[in-house]
Amino acid sequence: MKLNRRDFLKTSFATAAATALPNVIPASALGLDGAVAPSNRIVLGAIGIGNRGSYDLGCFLEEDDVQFVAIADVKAARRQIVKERADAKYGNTNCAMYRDLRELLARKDIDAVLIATGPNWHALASITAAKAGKDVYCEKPCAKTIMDCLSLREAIHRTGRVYQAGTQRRSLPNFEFAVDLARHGRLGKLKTLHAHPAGLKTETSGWMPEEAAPSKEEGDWDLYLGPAAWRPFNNGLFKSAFHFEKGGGLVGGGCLEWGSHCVDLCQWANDADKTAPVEYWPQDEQLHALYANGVKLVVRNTGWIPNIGSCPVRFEGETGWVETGDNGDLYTSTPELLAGKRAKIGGYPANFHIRNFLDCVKSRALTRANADAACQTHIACNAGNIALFLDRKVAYDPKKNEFIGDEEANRLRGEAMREPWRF
Amino acid sequence: MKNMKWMLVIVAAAGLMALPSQAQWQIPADRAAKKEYVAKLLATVQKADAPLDERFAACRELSALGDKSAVPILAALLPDEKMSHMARYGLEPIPDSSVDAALRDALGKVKGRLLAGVVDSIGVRRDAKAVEPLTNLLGDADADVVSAAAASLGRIGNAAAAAALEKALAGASGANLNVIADGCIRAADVQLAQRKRDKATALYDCVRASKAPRHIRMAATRGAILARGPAGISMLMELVKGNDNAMFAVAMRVAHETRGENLTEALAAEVGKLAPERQIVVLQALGDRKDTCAVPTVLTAAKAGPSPVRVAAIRALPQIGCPSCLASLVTLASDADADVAAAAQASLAGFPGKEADGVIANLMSAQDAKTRCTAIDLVGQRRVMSAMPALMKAAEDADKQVSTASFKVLGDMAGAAEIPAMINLLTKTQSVSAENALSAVCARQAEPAAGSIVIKKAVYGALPDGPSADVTKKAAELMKSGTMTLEANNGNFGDPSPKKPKKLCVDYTVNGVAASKTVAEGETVTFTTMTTSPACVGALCGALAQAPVPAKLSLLRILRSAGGPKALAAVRAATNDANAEVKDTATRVLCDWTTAEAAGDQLALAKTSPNRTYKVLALRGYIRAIGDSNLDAAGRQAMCSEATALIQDNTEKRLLFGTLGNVGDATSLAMVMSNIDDPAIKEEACLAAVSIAERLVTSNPAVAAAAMQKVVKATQNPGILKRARKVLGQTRPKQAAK
Repeated sequence: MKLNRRDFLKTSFATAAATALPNVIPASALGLDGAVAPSNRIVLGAIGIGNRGSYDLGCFLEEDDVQFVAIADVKAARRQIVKERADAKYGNTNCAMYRDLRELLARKDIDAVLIATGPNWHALASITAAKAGKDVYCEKPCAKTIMDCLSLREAIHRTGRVYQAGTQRRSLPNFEFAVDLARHGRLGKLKTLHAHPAGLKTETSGWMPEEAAPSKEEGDWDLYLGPAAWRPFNNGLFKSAFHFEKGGGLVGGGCLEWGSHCVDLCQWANDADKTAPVEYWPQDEQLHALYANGVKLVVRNTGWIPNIGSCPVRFEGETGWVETGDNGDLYTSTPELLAGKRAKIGGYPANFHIRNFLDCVKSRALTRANADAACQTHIACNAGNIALFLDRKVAYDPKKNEFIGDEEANRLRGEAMREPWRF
Repeated sequence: MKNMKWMLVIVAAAGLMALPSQAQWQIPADRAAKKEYVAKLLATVQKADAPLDERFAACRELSALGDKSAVPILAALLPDEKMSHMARYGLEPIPDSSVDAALRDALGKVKGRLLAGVVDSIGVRRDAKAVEPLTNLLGDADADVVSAAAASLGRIGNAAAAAALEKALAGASGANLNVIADGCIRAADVQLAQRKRDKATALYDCVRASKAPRHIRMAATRGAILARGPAGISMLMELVKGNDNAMFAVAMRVAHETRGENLTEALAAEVGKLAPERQIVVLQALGDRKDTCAVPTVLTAAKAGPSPVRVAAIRALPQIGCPSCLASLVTLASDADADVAAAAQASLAGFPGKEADGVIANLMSAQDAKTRCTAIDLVGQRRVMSAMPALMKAAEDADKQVSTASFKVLGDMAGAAEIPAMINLLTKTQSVSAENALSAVCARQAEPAAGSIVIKKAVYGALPDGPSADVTKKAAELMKSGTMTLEANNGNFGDPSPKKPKKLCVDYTVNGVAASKTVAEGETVTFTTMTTSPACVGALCGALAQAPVPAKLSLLRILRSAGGPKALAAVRAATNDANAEVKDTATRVLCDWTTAEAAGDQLALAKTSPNRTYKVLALRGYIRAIGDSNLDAAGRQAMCSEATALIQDNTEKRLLFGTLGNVGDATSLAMVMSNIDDPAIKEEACLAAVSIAERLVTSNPAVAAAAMQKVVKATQNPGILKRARKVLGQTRPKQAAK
């Protein structure tokens, strides 16, 4: 059964109180000058729009209360594609193009930005946008070191902006239903949470042979690298999404790639949006972690129900379990747990998540994947990556945000940004 | 340092994105060896003629390994245009005060962009001794340096830093004003975190009073409210009452971020006096704050006023979760305003707590049918299992809409225990709703569940005759953990026959019914195929004999959902029933049986039935049964041959291709390929061929490649073409990296 957005929002709201989720707000006229455009449309800009960003932007453009006005991208061809798309939608030639995101962020008329750059830029662009007074929807992974996570959360709090991590599975009914089972004792006392990381190997963009660089206007290599260490221009790197900096392959990749989705859902199921596991260790080609409340987290690539789709999770309690993934189906230990199952959507559309963001831009409420939740999820993933890298158990203090008596691990929490970039 | 691994990307071919073959550096665990290793890294860093990537990589390692000995060497590189950033990269995490001294020292040696970088690193390390030199830099001619100094002073955030920023703010303008104002707010945040509320408040207020852009003043206002503590409530309320929408937004953000009844009470007292669009936002905040003291106000707003405001109020009620609202919500659920009624129903569905379950269940005995229907729907949404008897009663309600609603919810919620009662309801009502509900419940009993699977025996090894091990206990342990799959691999079961191809054979029962599966090493036994529930089938079969004809027809159709040998036997018997309707339904059910258990019956009908419709239906059912995952390759091939001989129409051919696409092997592939030149079914054949080849490509690459070469030439479909080319690519030997 297909579910339209209106139906989903209704159904979703039906459990909102029970799951202590952020409210789902109607997009009604609020006229919040300064937070929302006088026209009552949310004026949107976009930063770094490639494959994934194009999809996200399409979702934004479907919303009646969004007016998209500007694109910032280091690549001229991408800027042009986005402009043509926006101008075609609005029947004008108004979409402005910027090479440098700072120029876009300086515009006073822009309320919110969609950030879909390479992961290297996500935290910095989000913080820079928040400091410029913009609300932020940012693709995942949102922060590539623990220090980035903390800086992101701090900046969003300090500026009072609305932030939504692009972890759209928080707004999809099958995952929401599974989380609901876990959080409301229908599986018994929660014991173990399972998350798919899409590989536990880390990625790095590396150092490629130097090639002739395009003009700055055509493709701004320096801006593309942003806070990452300088390296010579290489078209292969330039064409890809620039991922991660630390040459050791420690930060980014690993369990961060899909962990930012699947670990995030486990965090949510364990009511852990304001904390993270306290121990992490590699075991049997998996990453294991333990929360202070005794719940265990297992991050594993194999053993999932066949054809369950991407990004599966599994929650196990003392009396039952549930497993679900992007095919939209729910698998449970007993059929009765499926009673009241909501309509299936399947896939991983971002429409509902983006709608939640837009509604919160108007109401100033906390989004489903707000900065606190995103921060803790990404801390969990980054701490897990550090345990994998060190190949041993690490203990983490989520209050002090440091590894306990562990200089080796603590030194891996952050990395210096290339000047002139700073949080 | 035990097993510390640095993964290095070894660049593959020039111009290509790195597909990293990953090398590892084993860092010496021994202290002396480590010291020697660090010295080696430092030598690399210092080597001006070494490739830059090697020097950068050494800096990265030093960020994790470097000690005091690394500090002067890295610090010496801070003025180096190319190395400055990576020198900071190496220095920043080193836990030694000599780093701070070195960075301070560098302030006088670098300029412009590099100076800004050094200032940033000082801020990251929160070096309180650097306040004075950083303060001097607030007056630097380079805006980037000023920005870095303001940010770092804000991060340090002690009294001296705060004072410096406050002073600088007074004379700042342009871009410098923004960054210094932001630095002030950062410093104020630090002060607030240290519970120095007065100092924090003064700093926030300074920014509020400045000429900084509005979004910065908004951030300062947020801080100013928080820093004032309880006294901040009146400040927030002034913003709520004021005309500045931006500041109203700040107030609402704080209302969502903070907790405390005093603010809730203040907001509740004000909400009714605001313009409707503001009322909505405040009501949303009241819901989010969850304080019961707001309930009277929210209820008042829910009962009268503009519709959007009422809806917002109603939506806030379940968030607050006070059971005293339930009666009002019940009333509102029947409101004349459709939006209001819908909101109330949704709120009832999501209202937390058992008390709400009881209130809603009681509504099922309301006088008017509309309310009863609403209550039944809510019971379903809330999964109120205790309402099952009431639902059974409602299923017999004289009002058809009530009865239909009840059956729908029963279909969603009822379990094995309710099946006999639901059979009675079916017999009594003889309704389509009753059949659909019972069918849904029975189908659910057939869905796999780990708890219903018992491992009887599991053997892993070079089966059937080679060395093997009894892994029953291990398999049972894995199942107990809730998995629905068992992967045949050495990691799970050890290696009883090294270097020999192994298999895993599992004998198990599902709901007491025996089954067995054997898979090769690397493959997975899955328990997600449909199973049968003896209790469910027994109850259905028991009722069949006594049921009136319409109910009997329903029961026959439901038996197909339940499945299993006993159900099949009952259906088979009914194909000889004296009643023509029963006979017809049973025959159609038999034709449509979903597993290969009925393949013999279907084949016989397809070959010999005098009824043309039965012939076609039986053949289609037979073709679908070829997809039964419990069939072995020989059985599937035999059925395929039988079906091929009987097929006279392209519709059935397409159906066969679809089935073979899912389960076919090399033999099936040959059969599919023989149709690839028929223009009418060419694309379906190509699609099936690609699907089979994707599974075969590892075990039988030659066969897969031969087929895909033909598909590439034949298909016009871009998707199929892409998949075929991908398979072909997988069959080619991999080229060594250059």
